[in-house]
Amino acid sequence: MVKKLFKHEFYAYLRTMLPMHIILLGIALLGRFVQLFENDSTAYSIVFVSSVIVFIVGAIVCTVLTLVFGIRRFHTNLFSCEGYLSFTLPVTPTQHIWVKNIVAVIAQLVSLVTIALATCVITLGDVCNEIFKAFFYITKSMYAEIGFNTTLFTLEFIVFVVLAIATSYMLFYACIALGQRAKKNRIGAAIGVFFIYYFVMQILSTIGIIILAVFEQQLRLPELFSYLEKHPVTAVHLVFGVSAVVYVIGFTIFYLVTRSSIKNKLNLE
Amino acid sequence: MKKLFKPTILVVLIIMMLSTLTGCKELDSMRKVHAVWTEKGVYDSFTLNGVEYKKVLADNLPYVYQMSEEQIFVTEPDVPVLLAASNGITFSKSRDGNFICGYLYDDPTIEYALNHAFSASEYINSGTNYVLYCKADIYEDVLEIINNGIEYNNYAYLYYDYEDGMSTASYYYLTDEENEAINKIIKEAKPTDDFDMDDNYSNLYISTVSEDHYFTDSVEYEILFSNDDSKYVFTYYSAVEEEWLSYQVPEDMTDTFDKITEKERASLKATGIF
Repeated sequence: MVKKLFKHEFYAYLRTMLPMHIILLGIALLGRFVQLFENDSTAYSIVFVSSVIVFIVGAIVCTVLTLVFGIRRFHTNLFSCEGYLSFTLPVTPTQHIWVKNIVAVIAQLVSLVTIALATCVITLGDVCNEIFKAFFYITKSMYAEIGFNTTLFTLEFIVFVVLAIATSYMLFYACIALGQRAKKNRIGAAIGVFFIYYFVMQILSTIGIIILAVFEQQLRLPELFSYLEKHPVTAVHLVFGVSAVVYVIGFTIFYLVTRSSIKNKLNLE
Repeated sequence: MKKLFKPTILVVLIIMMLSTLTGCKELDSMRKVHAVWTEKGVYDSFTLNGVEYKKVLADNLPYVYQMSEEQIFVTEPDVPVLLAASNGITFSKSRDGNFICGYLYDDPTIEYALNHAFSASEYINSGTNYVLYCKADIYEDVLEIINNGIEYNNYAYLYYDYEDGMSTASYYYLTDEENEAINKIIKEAKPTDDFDMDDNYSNLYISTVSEDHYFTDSVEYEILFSNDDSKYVFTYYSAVEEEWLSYQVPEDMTDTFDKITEKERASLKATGIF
């Protein structure tokens, strides 16, 4: 049943995302077409800059819409009228959450790949060729300088991106799951929960910064920074590592909140 | 929908094919300032737009007079053009393109290292040297000029031509007669504090240059000239006397000074200053 759930989730994304991705690629192709008429005139500059702006806006819209669509699907499938049907399926709430999250993360990654592909299209030819040359040169130089750490950085970066996306979705899921407990205006309540979370995080991070500043010597932060300055490779590993741990903790908390709400406090009225 | 599929694919393919055949002006302009060392790890010569430049190996390297604001970036041969500015050594180019000069680290690999975040901090305090490169075809001539000792008895100044609101920088090299007049004043005239000049005057800086106009010793002289009359005061900082010296240009030289300042006067008139 989980397989079917995945299948239908992917189909749903495909129906919405495919036209959006085709439009973005079309915008990129149109942008490249404009560049075929490159000249020094003001008219060309206006058209060229406009085409680039449209492309950038298109790429942002593509990312944001994917996020919005993922959140909307979670809300509609589980907490609207569709919820009655979804929860009659022989699937546990845990499986529902995981399926939604995994497909949403994949969809967001596909969006990023499409944006990269569209960037290749809009720069097709000489520029694209040079971008790739620069990319491979940087990779080669990094390998020459820091060896296997380059591979580790790449893997850590991919993990970091995946965790960041997954945690962002899970945060929204938790907000929706908590918001649906309200008797009226549940979407508004979910937004309220999000802003309360944001506000609390701001306060906590400010307190954290104050603590670090006050207990700088006791926590031996100058020594740590001095060490990291001398060992930049370790510093990058540390940044990725700490970020990953923070995201995993965040993800776990949001997941538990979401699951607990669905399991114990499901409100489909 | 199906009917549109084939034409769409055709259009896409045509655009993609045309894209591979056309260049990019911005990229071309980046290529124009991207030079590569002839041999990897050797900093004696490089090639810029197919022209070879050789490092002038001489003591007391002179300064090039006609320096432009154009910067070039010299990299190892395998560095792509998009990374030339960040991974290259930055030099300046002369306006006539004959010379390229700048400062090179004692060990040029340091400059490359500075571009790499992972090893930058180790090299911050390393010293640099002034270096001069010239086109390979004039290398022998330049070396001969430098080895024979350069005399800076000629003068020149930079002025601007204005046309349709656009300005073009040009150099005016003083003629033999004009050079002689300047040298005569420096050698023979007596400095004075009591000179005759109108309230409405402008000034012009002239630089000493070598006879071939390639080099300068960076000494500048100032000519104050009346905007409405042929009155001239010649002034400069004497390194020997350690003070500013001023000379009233004698009347028999005013015609020569009229010629010297002609371009600058025209330039000032074009800008509406007088």
